[in-house]
Amino acid sequence: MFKYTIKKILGMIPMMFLISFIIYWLLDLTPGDAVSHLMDPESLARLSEEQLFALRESHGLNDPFVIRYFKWVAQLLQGNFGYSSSSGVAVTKIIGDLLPATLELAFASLIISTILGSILGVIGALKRGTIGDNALTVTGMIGISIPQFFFGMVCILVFALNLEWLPAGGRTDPSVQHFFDRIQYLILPASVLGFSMTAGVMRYSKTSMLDTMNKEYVRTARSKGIPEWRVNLVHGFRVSLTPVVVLVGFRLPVLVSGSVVIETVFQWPGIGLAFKGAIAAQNYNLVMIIALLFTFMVLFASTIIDIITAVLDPRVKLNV
Amino acid sequence: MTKKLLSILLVLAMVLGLTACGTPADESTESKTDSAVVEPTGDGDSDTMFSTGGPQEFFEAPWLNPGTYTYTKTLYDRLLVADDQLLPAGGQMAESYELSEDGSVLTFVLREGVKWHDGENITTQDIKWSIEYSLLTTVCNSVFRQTFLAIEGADAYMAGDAEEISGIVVDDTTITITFASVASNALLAFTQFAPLPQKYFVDVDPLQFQQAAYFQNPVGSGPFRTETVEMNDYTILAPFEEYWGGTADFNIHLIPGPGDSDPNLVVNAQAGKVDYGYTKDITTANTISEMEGMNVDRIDVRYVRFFYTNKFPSADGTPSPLEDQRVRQAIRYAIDMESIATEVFGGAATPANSLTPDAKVEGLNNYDFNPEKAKELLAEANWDPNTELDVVFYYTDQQTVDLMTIIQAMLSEVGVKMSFNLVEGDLASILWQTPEDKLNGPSAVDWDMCYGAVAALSLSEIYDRYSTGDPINSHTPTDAKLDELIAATHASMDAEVTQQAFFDLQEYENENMFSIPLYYQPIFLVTSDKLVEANIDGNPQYTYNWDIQNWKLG
Repeated sequence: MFKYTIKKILGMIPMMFLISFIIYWLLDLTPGDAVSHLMDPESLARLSEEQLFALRESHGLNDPFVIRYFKWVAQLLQGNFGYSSSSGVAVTKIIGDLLPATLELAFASLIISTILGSILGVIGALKRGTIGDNALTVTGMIGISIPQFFFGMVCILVFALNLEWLPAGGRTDPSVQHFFDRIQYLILPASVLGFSMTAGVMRYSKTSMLDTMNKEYVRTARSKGIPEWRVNLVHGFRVSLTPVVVLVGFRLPVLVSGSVVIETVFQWPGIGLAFKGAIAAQNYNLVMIIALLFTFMVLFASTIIDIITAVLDPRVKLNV
Repeated sequence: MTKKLLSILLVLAMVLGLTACGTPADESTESKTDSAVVEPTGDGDSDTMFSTGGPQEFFEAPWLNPGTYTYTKTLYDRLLVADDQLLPAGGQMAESYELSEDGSVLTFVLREGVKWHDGENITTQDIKWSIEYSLLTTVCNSVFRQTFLAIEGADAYMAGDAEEISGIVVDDTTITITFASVASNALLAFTQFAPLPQKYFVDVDPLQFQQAAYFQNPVGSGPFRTETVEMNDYTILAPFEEYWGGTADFNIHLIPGPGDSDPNLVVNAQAGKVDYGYTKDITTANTISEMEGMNVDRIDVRYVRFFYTNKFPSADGTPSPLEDQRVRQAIRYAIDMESIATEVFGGAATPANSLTPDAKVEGLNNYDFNPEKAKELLAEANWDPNTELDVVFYYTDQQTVDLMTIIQAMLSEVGVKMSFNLVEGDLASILWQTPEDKLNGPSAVDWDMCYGAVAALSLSEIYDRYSTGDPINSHTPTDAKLDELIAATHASMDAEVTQQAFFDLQEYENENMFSIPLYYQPIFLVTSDKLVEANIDGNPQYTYNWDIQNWKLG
């Protein structure tokens, strides 16, 4: 088991390097560079060649792409994550400031989608073939199909602007003292993000529930005369949740990296919004560290799930 | 059992994570100061004014776009203050000033006891340092740069032969600036240039000026100071108690976003989060004007959209299709700007006959839509109908694409083919790379027309780019008469003489069409009924005597 875990973790390292190289290379292929985003074109064109060289040098842009990449890796290995080329702020501080907001949004939407998806999935399984089941299936399809930005704007229009129940955007305001004071800001973005994730969980839990309800021990429970609600909840629902929990665990990193749209629509000051801005500004240090963070989260979640699966499922051979 | 444990652990992790993320707002940032004059109590209250353009990553340095953001207008004082027409109206940081008759010596007397927001006195050395240092940065507005480079000794300073500019002499209270050449925009420049405190930039490389830690929470000199900075979330500006011009009785709550044309302006206005802002977008303005409690005022400013025309031959020696002024005139005649202004811009744009909306010389040709005249001029110029004009633009909005499509159709009607495409990336090279031979070319850029805009602080900003040797003149070959006319606009400190020089230049431009002006675009000032007393008549992109510290909120 220990060897298996170490092997899995070590396997992440070359993957991280490969992905970082590809991202760095793709960023280099985009037109312009950080300097062309730091200054307006007219001001840039008015610089002398010497000034332009010095400016590019100050941002480390005069070296060829490969040299720059390996310099960046060398700095990274020494624990130096660099500074944002736009603001001059340390990348670690930017991540430290923004990640909590994104995690907050991701956790909240994960909880919403998990609870809602599991319950609706179970209801769908128990009421299979009924109008209610079909309605849930259609709702689920809408949840998957509807673009997040559109759904977000509709929610802002209805709940923030027309009904005035919730704020239209942002994460907090000066009057807020505690997390619970600003939960009103979280409800809309988390619900929109959660709703789009609910359909997936719902379909997964429905399938799992249907599978569980056909198991022999469920039939045995019924034949023993145990009340139907107890069969459904204790013998069916609880067992069917296991694969859903694995799915949910895997979704957290996807939620973090996938929150760009929601953060933009709801002016949520998280890492997704910063990532979008950093790509536009070719802010290499920030883009690379955020991208690596996303990559790490996905790989880490994948590795953890592999390990858990290996622990729980005897069919998985640990020496493979 | 293992599965149950795993499930419980996962749920616990979620709850803990969520709780950990919930840092109270008053504990989560380093970039705060402690004291507060007015306790902010959220939206809707009369002691908070909501505005747009709050910082997203940093506070933009005030030396490039001096008034684009509410914070650049409120955090910093200037030496002088302009009126709402941007004409010098008196001292601000300076108690008094004097310009010698020939314009060669400008003297400021610093107001007694003026302070930075950290409580330190503003010194004349701060002013001198700010002027010198700004020239070394990459974010110095062209009007400032032109003015400061005209100071005696600026050449030697820029060449590295002197450690300071000899033409700036300071004592305890007085700053004396001696100009080596005429600086016709000197007073204008000092109504917009915000001196900064030298001590915060001691070890800052001028090339990394914008990246200085100072711009995470700037210490300014204006009527408001930073109170709370939650970067990309909200910023609170509180009244500066020691401001010489009085203390405001409200806070300013800034919502993050660009200074103008904020994509979230409508939503924020509807949500009651905009009391003061502006936009150039007519759709946004129209939508907000229909909201209860919101007001939209049109302000005509120096903002023009036009086509640069590349008159240099191409690299293979082919003459430019726009070399002949009759072709350029024909193109303007072929474009029905009246209809475009009405249909595309909802009446908000004004058809342009010159690059300068506010230097109105009598008798200019308006180039009213006249396709027959266009065809006639093209025939006279022996226009080859197989020639296709390559038009580039750098705006990413749909309205620009619509406009290009319409112009393409209109030109097609008179026998001029045109293709258009968006250019991205290194625009400085794509658009402004100048040819080595400024008279004969060949062109160093690969386009015939470029759809662009100029928002100018001074008229010089509009025309200087067409003079020989200007670093962004990629399009207009040496024209002795044009050079002479442009030089005349810089030759005198006499306002009437300078105005006449601009009139002469405008007349030449109107006939020559060295650029093809399309339309003037206004700015739409967005305010709420909460502003009961506020001087908001000026151009919101620049600073003027708006006395925000004396505004009254209802």
